[in-house]
Amino acid sequence: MRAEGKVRSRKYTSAAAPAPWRAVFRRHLAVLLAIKLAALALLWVLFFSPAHRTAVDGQAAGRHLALVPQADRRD
Amino acid sequence: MIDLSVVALSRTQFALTALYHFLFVPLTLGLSMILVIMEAVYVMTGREIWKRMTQFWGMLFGINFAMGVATGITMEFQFGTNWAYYSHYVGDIFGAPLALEGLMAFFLESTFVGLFFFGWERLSKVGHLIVTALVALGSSLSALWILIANAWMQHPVGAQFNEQTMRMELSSFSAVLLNPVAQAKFVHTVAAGYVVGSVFVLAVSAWYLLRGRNVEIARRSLAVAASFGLACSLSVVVLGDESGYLASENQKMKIAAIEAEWHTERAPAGFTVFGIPDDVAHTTHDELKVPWVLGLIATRSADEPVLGIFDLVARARTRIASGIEAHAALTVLRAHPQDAAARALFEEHRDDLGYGLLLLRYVDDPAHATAAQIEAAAWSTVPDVAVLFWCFRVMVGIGLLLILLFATAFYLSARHRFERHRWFLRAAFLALPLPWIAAELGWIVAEYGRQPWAIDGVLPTFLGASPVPASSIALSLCGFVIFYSALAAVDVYLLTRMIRRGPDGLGYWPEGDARARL
Repeated sequence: MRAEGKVRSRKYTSAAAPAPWRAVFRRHLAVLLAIKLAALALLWVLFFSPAHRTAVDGQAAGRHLALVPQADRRD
Repeated sequence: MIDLSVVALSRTQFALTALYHFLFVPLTLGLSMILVIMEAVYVMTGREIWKRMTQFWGMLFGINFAMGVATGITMEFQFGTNWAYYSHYVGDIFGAPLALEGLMAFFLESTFVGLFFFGWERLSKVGHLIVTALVALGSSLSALWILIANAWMQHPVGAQFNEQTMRMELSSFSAVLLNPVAQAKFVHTVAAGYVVGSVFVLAVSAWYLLRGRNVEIARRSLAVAASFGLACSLSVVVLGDESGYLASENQKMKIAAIEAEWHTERAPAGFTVFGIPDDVAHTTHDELKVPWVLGLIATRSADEPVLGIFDLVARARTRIASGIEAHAALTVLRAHPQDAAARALFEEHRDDLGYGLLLLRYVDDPAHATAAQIEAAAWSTVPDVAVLFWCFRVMVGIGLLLILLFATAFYLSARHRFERHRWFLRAAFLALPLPWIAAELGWIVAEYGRQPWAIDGVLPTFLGASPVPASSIALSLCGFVIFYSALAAVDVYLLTRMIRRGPDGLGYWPEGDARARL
């Protein structure tokens, strides 16, 4: 079995040169990753950046949960 | 009053992003461990073919990792924007595991993924194997932290409510870390991920064998997937049972809903194999029951009952009444922190505050709730029974089917008879989508079954949402659907293209050599 493995190994190293597809493939993956990050950044800027957030502190949370006397409620 | 359409949109957005994200995660988890097994065989035997197998499957792992990485970050976007009250209320506890998850995923995992791909010629055999093992460990650790955060939502421990800051504050990090629900969820989810990886390798290898391509690699890969997959699919059953048992202790309503157990039966309760739950009439039509099974599984005893939905709603009614007291006392306490009577009343009822908050869906001040509103709030603690009932049964059915698939594969692998049973190879290929369906259904059972709570018994989901304009959520939801659909399509396209080219077409292993040995 060990000899068989060695033969296979020799065949592989003689048959296969570094595959040219790898460089192209890596480039494609890098471009896709860049597009993905750009799309995520765009979504963040458009919908989730700090300008879109509701500021919540203890007072706001208290009003949200109706934990203020009714006369003082604004929420 | 809360705008429930905004809450529904925020929930839909979160659910969709979580479900999309979980298309990538289990394959990363599963393939990373299979890579460790293959490379370990290479290091132990020195046979080149195992190295080439590791590289080929590693390339597919890399595609999925690249497409999947950072897809979970969109959920963190949403915490800040769509769930501002949730973030304020529980951010102190929820934030820490999320931050650790980010560190694990982006730094530990990504660093070792880089070393895995570029380290083959630079590291020793054993050194590279350690790197591969660290990739798998990093994947699992990032899953661990996110599941610790999730388990805290199911079973909040190690935290106390501060009435002045209006936040849940961490009182014991070790309690959060060692939350039994987190441990059970982690092993169950990771084992399910291993099953996804195993089915992926099994299906792709079966496809090669059906076409007589890459036979040497496919046979070995099939053998690894069969044995690892069999062990993991059996583990999923045991670990899922543990998850169910913990839920029967901590989330009784979830279990009652999954089992469509409307009324408490005499112990041990029967398991409904089939039935048509009716959420309006509060009954299950045409049910087919197996005696004792549910009672034995859920309580691990023959004399402990599994509480039915009606009894649990009655309990909720009592807790809502207590929650009204807690809410009223807290209102006074926030205005007059030194009020001893209000303090004493709040301390007496504080565990039921969350139940009192359920009423804010129906009335501006819980103290003025009518009997009908209390009744509606009590019934709102029941999740969608029909959805949970069926999602759970389909998930379990798929799980059992996969055990059968892996057991057959294991048997055929041991007898070296894969090629003679083309029906099996076809079945293995067709099984490819099943573990993803089961995993997604599992999430639906876990998270939809938690409703109406964001944090079980503490914070109702509708109170966690921010008052963001509905149009803004609808637009960002469209953006996410387009983004994730494109990402999933590219992932499938790249994986399919590379699988079609195969180890022979990509230069990982010479095709002529394999064909000669057929």
